[in-house]
Amino acid sequence: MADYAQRISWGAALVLGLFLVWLLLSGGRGWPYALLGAIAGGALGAWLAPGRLYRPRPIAMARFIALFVIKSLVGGVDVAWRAMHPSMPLEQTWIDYPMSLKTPAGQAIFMITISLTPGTLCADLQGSTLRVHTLASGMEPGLKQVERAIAGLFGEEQAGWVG
Amino acid sequence: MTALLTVAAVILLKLFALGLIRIYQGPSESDRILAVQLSGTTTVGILVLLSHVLAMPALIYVALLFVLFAALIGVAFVRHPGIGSSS
Amino acid sequence: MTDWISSMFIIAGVGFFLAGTVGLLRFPDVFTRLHALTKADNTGLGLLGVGVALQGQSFRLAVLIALIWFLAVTASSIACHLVARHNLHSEEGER
Repeated sequence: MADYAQRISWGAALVLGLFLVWLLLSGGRGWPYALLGAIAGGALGAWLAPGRLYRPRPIAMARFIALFVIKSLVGGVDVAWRAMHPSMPLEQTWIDYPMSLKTPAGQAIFMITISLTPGTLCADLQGSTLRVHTLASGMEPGLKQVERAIAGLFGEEQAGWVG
Repeated sequence: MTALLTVAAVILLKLFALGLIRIYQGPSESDRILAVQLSGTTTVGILVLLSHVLAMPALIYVALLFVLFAALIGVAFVRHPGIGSSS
Repeated sequence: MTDWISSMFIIAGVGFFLAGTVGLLRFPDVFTRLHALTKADNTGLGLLGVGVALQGQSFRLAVLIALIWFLAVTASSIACHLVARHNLHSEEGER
């Protein structure tokens, strides 16, 4: 059973992750207890996790993290420039952005990332349409780029996929 | 180097005080909660700086806790039943 | 050399905090203030963290600071979305 084997490896990854977080927070003190706890946590997680498990995609993940960091840096520079500029160049608009992401986790990550990308702020979700507040016009291409990176994270194919 | 870090922490503290103006002025409750969020982030910045200046690594964990609470502030604000009807 | 680079990061970080506070005080309404808050501040915290991590010269400290930054970014982004939605809905209710 492929599903069974996948659950085992998912649990093992969870054990490793939990143990590493413990090492990070405690600096290695009391690690035998942590190991026991991590194994119990991983086993419970693998046993109880509902539905289809998420299959990690390292390359897409690295690409998304790089995009996330760059976008939030540029976003900070952008809004700092607007705040410090004597005339405050604000050109407020609302756009309705139809999401093509299907998985709820992907949609959540997208909404978090939108609020960090330059000039955009996610305000509301109705069905699969996002209401986005922007500080300048012409922000859709940036949103598309983020959405594509997240779609790659979850292995979702998109209608508007290019390259 | 320690001098620079200390100066940076003091400047952040001043910015924190400036942010209080927005809490005082409002005008809406959302504005006030925004200012609280800002002071939360500033506090985290100050703590990270101080943990190095004072050589107290424990302050990093305090910063971690502050970050975790910062998330709760927003949720508590939105979920609070009295807010929204009174503003 | 490391000192020099880390000072640059810390100065830039404080600059972003300044911009965030200025934005909070100068911007005309809640939504624009939200922009200033979520972005400028988190960029500031990130740069500040890089500066301190360079000073600390310890891998564990760097990872802890990265964790703090990641959590701060996620928390403020979610809080920002919640406040924006709350504000949008209460505005619509008043109309």
